[in-house]
Amino acid sequence: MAKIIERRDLMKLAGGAAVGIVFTPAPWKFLDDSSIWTQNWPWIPKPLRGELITRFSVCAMCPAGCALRAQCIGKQPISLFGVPGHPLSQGTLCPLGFTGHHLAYHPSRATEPLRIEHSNDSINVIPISRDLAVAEIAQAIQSKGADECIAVIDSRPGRTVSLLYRQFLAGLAKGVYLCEPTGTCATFDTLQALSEKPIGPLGLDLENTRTLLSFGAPILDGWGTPGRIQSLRRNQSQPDAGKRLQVIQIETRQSRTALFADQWLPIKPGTEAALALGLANVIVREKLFDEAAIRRNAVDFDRSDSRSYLDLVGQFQPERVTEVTGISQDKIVSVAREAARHGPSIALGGGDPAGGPLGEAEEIAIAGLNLLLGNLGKSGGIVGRSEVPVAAEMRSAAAVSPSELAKIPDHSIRVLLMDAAESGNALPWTLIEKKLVSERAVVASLSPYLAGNARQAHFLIPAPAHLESLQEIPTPDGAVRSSFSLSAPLLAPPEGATDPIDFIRSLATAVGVPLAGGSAMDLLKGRASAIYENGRGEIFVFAENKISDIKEAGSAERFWDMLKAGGCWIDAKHEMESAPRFSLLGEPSQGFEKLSASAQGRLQASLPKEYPLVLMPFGWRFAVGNGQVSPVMSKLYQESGLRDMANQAFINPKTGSALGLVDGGQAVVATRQGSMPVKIQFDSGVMPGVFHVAVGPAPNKNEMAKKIDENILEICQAGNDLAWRVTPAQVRKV
Amino acid sequence: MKIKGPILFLIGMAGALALGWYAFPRALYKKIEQPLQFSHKVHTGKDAGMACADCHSLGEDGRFSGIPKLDKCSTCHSAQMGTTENEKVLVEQYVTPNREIPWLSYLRQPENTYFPHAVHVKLAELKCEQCHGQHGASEKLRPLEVNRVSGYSRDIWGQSISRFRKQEGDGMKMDDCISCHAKSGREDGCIDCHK
Amino acid sequence: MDTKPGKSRYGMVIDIDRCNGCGACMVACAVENNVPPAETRATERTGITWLRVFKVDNGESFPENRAAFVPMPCQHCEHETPCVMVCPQNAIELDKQTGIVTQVPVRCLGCRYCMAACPYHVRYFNWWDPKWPQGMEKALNPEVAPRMRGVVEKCNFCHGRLQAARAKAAAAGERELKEGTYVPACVEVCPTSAITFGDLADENSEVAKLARDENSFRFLTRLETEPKVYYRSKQPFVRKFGESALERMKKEAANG
Repeated sequence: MAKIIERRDLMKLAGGAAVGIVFTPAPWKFLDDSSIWTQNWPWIPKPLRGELITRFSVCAMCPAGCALRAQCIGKQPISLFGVPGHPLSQGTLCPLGFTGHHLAYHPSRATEPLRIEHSNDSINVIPISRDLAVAEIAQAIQSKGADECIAVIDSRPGRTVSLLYRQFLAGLAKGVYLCEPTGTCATFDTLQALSEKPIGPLGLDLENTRTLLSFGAPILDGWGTPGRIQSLRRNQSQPDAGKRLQVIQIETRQSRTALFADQWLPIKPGTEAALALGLANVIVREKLFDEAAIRRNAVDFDRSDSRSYLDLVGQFQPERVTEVTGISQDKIVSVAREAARHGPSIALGGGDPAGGPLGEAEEIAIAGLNLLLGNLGKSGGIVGRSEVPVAAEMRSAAAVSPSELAKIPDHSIRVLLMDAAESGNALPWTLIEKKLVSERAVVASLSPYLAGNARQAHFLIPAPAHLESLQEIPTPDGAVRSSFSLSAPLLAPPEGATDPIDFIRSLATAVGVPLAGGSAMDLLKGRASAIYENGRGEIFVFAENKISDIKEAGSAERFWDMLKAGGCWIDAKHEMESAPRFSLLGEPSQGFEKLSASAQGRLQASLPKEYPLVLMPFGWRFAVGNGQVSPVMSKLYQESGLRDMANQAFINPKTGSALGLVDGGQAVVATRQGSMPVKIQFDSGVMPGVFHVAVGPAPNKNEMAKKIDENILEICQAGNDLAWRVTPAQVRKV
Repeated sequence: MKIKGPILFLIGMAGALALGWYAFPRALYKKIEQPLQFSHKVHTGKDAGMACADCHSLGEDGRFSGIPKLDKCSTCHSAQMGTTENEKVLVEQYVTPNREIPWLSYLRQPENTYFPHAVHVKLAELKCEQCHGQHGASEKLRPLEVNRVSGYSRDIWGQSISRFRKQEGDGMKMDDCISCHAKSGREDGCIDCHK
Repeated sequence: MDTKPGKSRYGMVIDIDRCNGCGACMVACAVENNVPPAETRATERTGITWLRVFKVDNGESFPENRAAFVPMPCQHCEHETPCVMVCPQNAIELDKQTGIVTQVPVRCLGCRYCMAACPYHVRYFNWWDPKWPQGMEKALNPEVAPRMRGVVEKCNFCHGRLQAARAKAAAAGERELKEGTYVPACVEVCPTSAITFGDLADENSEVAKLARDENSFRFLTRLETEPKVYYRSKQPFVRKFGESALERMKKEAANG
């Protein structure tokens, strides 16, 4: 018997073990567990667990101010919904709004102040302390030249911080307060400029309007408060169709509004003024207006110097207007008659969110149309609304009045501050750059996101992101009753974020300008108190879907709490004082000439040979500017093309083929201002000779990797009134 | 000797059987103690007399609270009520600094399954003991036995490693759910349990 | 637990004339179902859009050209459901109680046979692991499990909401779901109420009435898949699409 263990013995041992192990649970269980292990990928996130809690707030992404209900697990908002019964938003929250809780995590979000260095096409960011940033900006302010000014761009005027900016600027020598040359309220602003005395804030009484002549405004695709328009249209598709709001969309591009409007007038690019005056011509000629009232109230309706409004519209007969605009004479006449006979009617200007403002002459012509239609201060027309009370401690200090970006001299701004809030419309950097004093200018952005114009700044002092801090929600654009609500925070902001109110206070202290009031919270509470003391209006409480008189709150403290927990104050209706006298031509000296010249349209004579096409930028409201959208919006952009990504160019197939372009291929757009690559798509709905280039986000793509000037707006040309929506251009294949 | 071969074979087999039946189950599971010792008996017994649903409650929206959050404990234990060391730890380390207790769940199912307590407790009227055994009367919390390979609790597979002739209520794998459903005459589709 | 004596057949009627192509349904679907934002390389072909809105037009030139928007979720075919018939893993099932064509992603092995079989192209593959910007994963919906790469997923009529509705009804001691308690995300969020959802087996429900309407049609009926998603339109050029396959957008072909 051998005492050594041989290989064969080990084999026998192993053989026994192998047979034995099979009769145990070990291998089978191990196999089962391993297969489960292969499915436990640690980098696949697991949703949070816990009880669902409901909290209320208001969306602050755009001026619409829609109420929202958030379902949260602990402190984390999981999903957002509209608030049914809300008098304005009517339970709707748009897709940008209901993904708003993602913005705090947006890749381009900045969590601390940054110094931004520019080199060629790219930027380099360096974290910097807030105090240092404020000190350097203050230094620049104090060392400015005598001719130079300090400017603030505020895209959402009417807030407490807006007043604070104006008071700060009043304390400086040459402080300039600028709102964007925005689309949405352009018609209101123009009416106010044409009026002899101030007429206060305005709104559109769409609930009673019968005919809406929209000159390119995205009425059915995000204008004003979307829920309001949608519920109007929904309620009005009832059998009682006689009272339905008729939307007549006047726009070159077949936008979604044009597609779903009751009529679409595809005018030639830049000819809105001619059409507005042409409609006025028909109304005046056929005496479809209240002549006595106009003669009484308009200072320049009929004068003896053959430069009156009557003389002006006399030039715009349908035969002539049809040549300029491309709309048939019959159509011009029928639309004018419809607007005049089927009132109340409103003419609304503003333009596309990325195409930008229509222009001064256009807006004056449109305002004139409104005055001719007699809708100012009347039901279904353009109505006044009250001024929202201001915090007591802020009332006495001096404040600069708003200026227009177009009217301030070029190369005059030494220090520019760009506020964080977005209007939903685009503002090309080139227009701002023109007003800066070349290289010595210092630009600071307060945006939470390092995107858009913020990337052009020298300093980024980020505000808290959406839903991270208490924000004031002023009256939405177009509302007929003034309102006030609070966007309560649902998330905690990072340490490095600075509320704009706190920033402007620090800056004011650094340059020695005293500012009224206390912290952001104090000022907002002060405003709420002022509203409560005023004793007017009602409060709508989201959680209870109930409206009650403001006095039932009992105290200013309780009123504040109700707002913070989810409530909205709505003022009573406001009666406009007696109709003011107004001018129909704008400037007394040059108005007639300017408006007559608009007969040719924006592009004047014919297009130059080297730029035979018309470039028209366009975009979806709020997805065109510097504000960010949730990364999950990629569903609509990269992953489906339902909304158009930046630099997608749409061109008529005939026009495109004639240029040798390929559908789906690359091309280069050239204008006098420069050139830019685009992606071509043939679209039979596009007017020949025109091409539309999208301005939009690329959700979830790395912003930092983008070149600074990749935005088509940079090569669009702006007129003296800063309208950039039509540009002569050429498209070359690549 | 010719018998050496078969003996070695049998030794190998015996060793493997022992390994598979005894050593393997012990080695497979890692014991982790709960962060805090808690006596169900003290709370549900004659003194405090609480019912399961007092802490493990069903919300109006149909969601089950699972293991209760700290605020449930803080309602009573905001200050020390008794004399045990465990309660002292509860108050000092968790209630006072408002820190959630990181309890370990014995029956955590995979992410893609869905078990609605509401349907089973309210409509099928199952008693807690039918699935959770005498846990509600236990004096201390046993350690969680985690499968080192799959990461799941031992209670999911069940105490019986081979699952032959396993007892009622032991294990909570899909087959266990299905066998009970079959007994009640229910026909199930995938979406009834899977997210 | 819809223990009604008859079984439910959940379906939809989508009014194309009302759809304004806003995309709210697509975004709500992604948020509800934990679909991640596009990976950097994702395109229209490789992205994941359980519900996708297509733009179609009447083929005319400017200015007679008119477009329409057609939302396309999974059609939940009832007869010889193509994807169910080809899946080698039995990961797909036509649920008997509700009529929903369900997909169990953890069972899928990623062969994509179902994607080839589906005539409506409404199945999507996870080419990459889902990745959310840091922190955003905290906002995931707890009623839906995120998937890993390598599996197919598709619209399931938000059956996570069905479970939640059942649990809520159970908590109140009720066995039957009241109408309107179970509503998929896309239906809930549509601003023009273009999508009507409900039980087609219930003759008196809104959705069943609309489905029987003369203006309602379905796509690819000649394939006899018996989809449960109906469409409505009074525009002739839209109805014509019902008879032919949905044309892939030209830009899809260019993108590859």
